[in-house]
Amino acid sequence: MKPIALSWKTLPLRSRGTVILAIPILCLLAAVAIFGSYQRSLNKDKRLVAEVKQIKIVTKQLSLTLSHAQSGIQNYSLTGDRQFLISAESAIEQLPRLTARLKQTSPDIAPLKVQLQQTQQQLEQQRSTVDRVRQAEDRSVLYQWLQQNDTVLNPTRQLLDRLIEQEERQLEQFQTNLLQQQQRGLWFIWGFILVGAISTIVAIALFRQLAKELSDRESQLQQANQQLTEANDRLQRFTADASHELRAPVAAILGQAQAGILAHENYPQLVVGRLHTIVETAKSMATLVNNLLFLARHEGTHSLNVQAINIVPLLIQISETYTIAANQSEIQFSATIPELPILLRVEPDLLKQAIVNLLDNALRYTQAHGTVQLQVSLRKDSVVIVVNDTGMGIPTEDLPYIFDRFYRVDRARTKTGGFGLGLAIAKQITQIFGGEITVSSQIDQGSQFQISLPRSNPD
Amino acid sequence: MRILVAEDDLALLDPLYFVLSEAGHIVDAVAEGDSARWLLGEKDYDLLILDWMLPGTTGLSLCQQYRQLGKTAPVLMLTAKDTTIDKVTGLDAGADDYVVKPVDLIELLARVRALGRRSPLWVGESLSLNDVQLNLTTLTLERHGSTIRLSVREFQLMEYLMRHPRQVLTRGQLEQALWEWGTEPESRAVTTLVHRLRQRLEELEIADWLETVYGMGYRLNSKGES
Repeated sequence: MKPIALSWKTLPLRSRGTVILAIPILCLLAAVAIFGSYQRSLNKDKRLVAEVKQIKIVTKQLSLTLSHAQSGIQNYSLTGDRQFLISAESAIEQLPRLTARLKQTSPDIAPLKVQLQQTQQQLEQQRSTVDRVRQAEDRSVLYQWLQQNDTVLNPTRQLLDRLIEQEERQLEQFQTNLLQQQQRGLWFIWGFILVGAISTIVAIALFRQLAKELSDRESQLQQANQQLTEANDRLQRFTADASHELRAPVAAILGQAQAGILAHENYPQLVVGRLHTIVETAKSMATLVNNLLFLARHEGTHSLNVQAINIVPLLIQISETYTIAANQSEIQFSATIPELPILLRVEPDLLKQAIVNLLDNALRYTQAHGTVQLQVSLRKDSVVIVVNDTGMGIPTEDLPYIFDRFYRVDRARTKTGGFGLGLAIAKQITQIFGGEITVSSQIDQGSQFQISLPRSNPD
Repeated sequence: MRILVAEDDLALLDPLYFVLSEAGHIVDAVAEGDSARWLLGEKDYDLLILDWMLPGTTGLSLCQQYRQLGKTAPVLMLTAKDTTIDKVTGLDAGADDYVVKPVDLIELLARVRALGRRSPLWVGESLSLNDVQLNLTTLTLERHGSTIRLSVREFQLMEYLMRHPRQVLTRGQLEQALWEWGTEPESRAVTTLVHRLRQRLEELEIADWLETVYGMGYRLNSKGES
């Protein structure tokens, strides 16, 4: 049952709709066909009954007419009353007409017709001889004639009687058949009602299932749509924040430089020239900001499919740079990097950006004489890059938001510089390479950022 | 003109204050929303320049509150929000102009002049009293073809006097009008300023127009032919 249900669900909607519609229509067509053939056989049986009835009626009439004719002739021969003779003659005349009404539906009819023709001839012969016999002197001739006539007609009468009896039996049998047939028809109708009800229930069930599936799909689409809307809203908020954060300093630079130019006409030419350069640079930076914002607003999602590279040289280069930078801030910096090559499917510049952002943060939030560490280790399926510092730490309640764009913990930290984009960028880069970034931190103890990236097999 | 500037970025507020003052305006510059709201209730301004994002409130709601007070001075919104929806929102809140940061201060001054021209107090590029003209853009005073350039302070006093000709103005009135909010004039500051202006007016031979009304204050009164 399960595979059927499964393959049913995988069928295209149009086919399923067609099947659901086809079920009641096919049931109806089948019912009409079966009922039609049943009606036909019922009609045939009725026709047979009617034929047998007719034969029965005609044979009875024949038997009666024959009796009339014979008794008419006999009575005339005995009484001489012509009235009897007229009645016998009209009965004889009727015989052929009645014979013609017998249809050839039974094998017994043909010999009966032959017999009837003979009987008619015999009756006509009796009619023609009756006057002669009646006028004979000897009454014994008449009696003998009468007796002879009786025996002549007996076989015909017997034949008719047998036929009547036979038709009677047949009629009885046909009528029983007809009754059974009608009974069967009733059962047929009940059967149709049952099959129709079942098929209707099945069709309704399938239709409801289909409708439910459609509404499920619709709600899934709505959900996806809502997620897209939310993503778009976040992007909008980001660009709005970026717009403010990027433009404010440019505005300040531009304003300060222009105020400087306006401050004194008698500044040395050199100073005024430099102020003009600042104004121009600030204006071009404003243009750059506009372009960046444009890009951000129209940003799509990326997935990078790149060659695996050995990241060890890159890590060594970063650690060398930061050894110098940390020295200048009187911070101890150490790096633990495996000597074996580490192959990763990454874009080196982006990976460098992510690590540099973490190290910049670590240096920024760590006081002099603190420690910053870069540790890279290999695990079974991943490479883990850890940046440790002994800086001011991050409050627990801020940790969930630390990777949000432009999120900054508090104003005190704001003074240490940065837009609050570094961690967001690091996170986005990590996600581009299919990895993840995590943070753990304790106030006044320091923070630990961990990037783990999936290892790739050398190919 | 007396202008309120509300901008939380001090690095931008400072040059704004400077260039507007240099242009002869009396500028109250504040960095947060609450001070701005208080000042709007306390003082009359000829122009407001409001940053959208202010600590404590937004320039947008300040603008709405200001309009609800029934005040009509032009409002210029200064903001980093650059989408069309933002601009429409700002203008719908009652702003008269909308400038996206970073703003070119030369352009901003031009916009301030343009908004000033729409003010009901606007009487032209210069104020006149008898045969003396004070040019509001160049900060110059002209009489019979000779022109002198006043310092910002001198100009501000002269403008105020010329807008109230033949009225006796007390020291207190002058302090209120010419000193920015939060600055305390020294005890003889007004006297010194009046003295300096008289010296400049001497160059146009109208030093006697600026009279001292003993025990009361000062009065600008044209003398001569008229």
